[in-house]
Amino acid sequence: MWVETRLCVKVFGGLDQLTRVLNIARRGKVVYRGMEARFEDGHAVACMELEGKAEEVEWVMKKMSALPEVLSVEPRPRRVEFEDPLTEVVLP
Amino acid sequence: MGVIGGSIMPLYDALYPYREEIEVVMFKHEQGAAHAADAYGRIARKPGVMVATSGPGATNLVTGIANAYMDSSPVMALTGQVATEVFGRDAFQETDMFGVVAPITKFVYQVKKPEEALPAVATAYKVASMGRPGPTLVDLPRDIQVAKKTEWKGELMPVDFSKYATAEPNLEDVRKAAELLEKAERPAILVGGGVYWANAWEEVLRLAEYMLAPVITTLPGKNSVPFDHPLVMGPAGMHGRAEADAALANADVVLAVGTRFSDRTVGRFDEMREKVIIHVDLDASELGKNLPTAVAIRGDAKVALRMLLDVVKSVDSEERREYLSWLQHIRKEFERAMKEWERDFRGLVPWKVLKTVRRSVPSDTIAVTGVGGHQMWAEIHWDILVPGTFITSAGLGTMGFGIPAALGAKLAARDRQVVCIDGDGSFQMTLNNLSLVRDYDLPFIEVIFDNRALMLVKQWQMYLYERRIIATEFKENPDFAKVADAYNIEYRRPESYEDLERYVEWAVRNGEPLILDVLLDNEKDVVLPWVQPGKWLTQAILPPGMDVSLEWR
Repeated sequence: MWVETRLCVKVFGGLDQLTRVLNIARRGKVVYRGMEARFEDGHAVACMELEGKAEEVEWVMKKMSALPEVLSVEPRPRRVEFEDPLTEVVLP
Repeated sequence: MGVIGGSIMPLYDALYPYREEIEVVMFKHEQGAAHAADAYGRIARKPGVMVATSGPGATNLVTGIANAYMDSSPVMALTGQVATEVFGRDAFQETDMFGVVAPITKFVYQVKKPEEALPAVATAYKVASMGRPGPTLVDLPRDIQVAKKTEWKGELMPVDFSKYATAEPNLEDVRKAAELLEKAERPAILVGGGVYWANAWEEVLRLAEYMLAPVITTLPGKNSVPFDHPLVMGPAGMHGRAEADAALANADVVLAVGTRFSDRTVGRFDEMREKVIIHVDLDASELGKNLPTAVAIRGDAKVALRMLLDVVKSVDSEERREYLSWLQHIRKEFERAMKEWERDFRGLVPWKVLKTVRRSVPSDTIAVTGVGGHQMWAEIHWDILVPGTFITSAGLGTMGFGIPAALGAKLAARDRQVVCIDGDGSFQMTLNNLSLVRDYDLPFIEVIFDNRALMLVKQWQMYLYERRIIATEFKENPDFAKVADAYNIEYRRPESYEDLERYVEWAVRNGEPLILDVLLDNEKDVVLPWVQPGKWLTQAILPPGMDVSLEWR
């Protein structure tokens, strides 16, 4: 199962804590299509668009959630699932 | 445990009035302090604390931190840092420690304001042992350390601690697991290090007896169950026991508890995917990480196994008994073949050395290993009689782990015997820490498997690289007797098992440290069984003369 999703990760702190999230993101076997981050009131929120096999996306989410700094990991609406990535997903 | 330096001096100075209450242990190298803190954490079940100055002091901790991360060990590192005003200016001994350890710590925080210091340290200490243990680090710039004391009322960093609260296993999942285990033809219980942390070995053994299921362990899981139980087959994997490899390879349903399914244990994932996997783990991110699961149970191993014991129906079938007899037959054949193989060796043989030492020390002796061939021999042949008495660098495979880890274990349990099973390669990586044996009265028995080579790598060169032996044989080892003498430690080179037994008994009786230099045949010292990379467990190379298939029927 191929999944395309948008994750929003909220951490306490700032760039340091966000770096930890990105360290997890780097190790996921998924493709990132976009990323943006905002910093406010002692928190950072990073939203990223990614796609990959469902279990790999799941891995990224679980690993991020396990970080103590992470307060929430929310998959945002744009979540599309395909049975076969080779025929149904047209990569840009 | 640590090494002092300019950027951490204020913290050490603050310890001065408390030096009677807080034991400050001065290591010869920060890596030693890190491994010692790791072993301390595993034995004491609370974080070992390592301290280092900025720059090289802090980076010297990195291998130890990575090791603790891979083996889920509770440790906290406190590192000095240059003053905040010179951050990023390449100041003397400045290293971005946050950046260095961010991917290999459970939690890391660089303090930038004085009022953050105490909450950060308290949080790091707490997080290190909550839920699945792991290493944490707090980086303390020098100006923060000397800043005026701020009031602290026990506040912590705004971390979501609830994610480490032990989740109650889902009863429906437990029921499904029970059903799968009851219906299984050849169930197996795969035990990882998580069973030790959950104190769940009695539940594992009770369930094994209830289901007539063999118990197999990972390398860290060897620490979790006693080997003298008839259903415990021992460790499976690259250098596992033959009966354990067979039990895991032929299982149709595997109940895996507190393990991440390392490639070192399972050999090949394709065959494992064909099995029905029930996975119990505290860490949700481990469930389904390496293998798909039929049932994933998040929760404490002890709680989950107790729930399972409450709902599962006992199975006592002729088929399961027959299967267990077959596994026992493999064990007997393995032991017979090892006995015959002895004759091929010149001098002492590694597994008999281990059996002799084991016989000569108390049952609750803590065994620590280095990394290499000796470690694999210990994996196969060192019998764990009391859970929690085997410390090894399993995930990272850190040569040099042995000596400092033995010191850390002894610091955590001064009343118990510690034996370090080492290789001559591993020994030479961290032997400078031997001075702590006398400095802090930390006697342990160091058994060096001396084959004048990095033997496990040489084994690969012999079998997988057409004997192209390069960079694995030492031209000449230093005189270990003189090394021992330099540190005021007794040294012996046993010529027989009787010698070995006598020397070990002397050290135990007198509470004295001892270095035993055991010369081994460096052509024959090849660790078998061996599942070569890319091979399946049933394709293990078995000891010569062991003519038995590891495939059930």
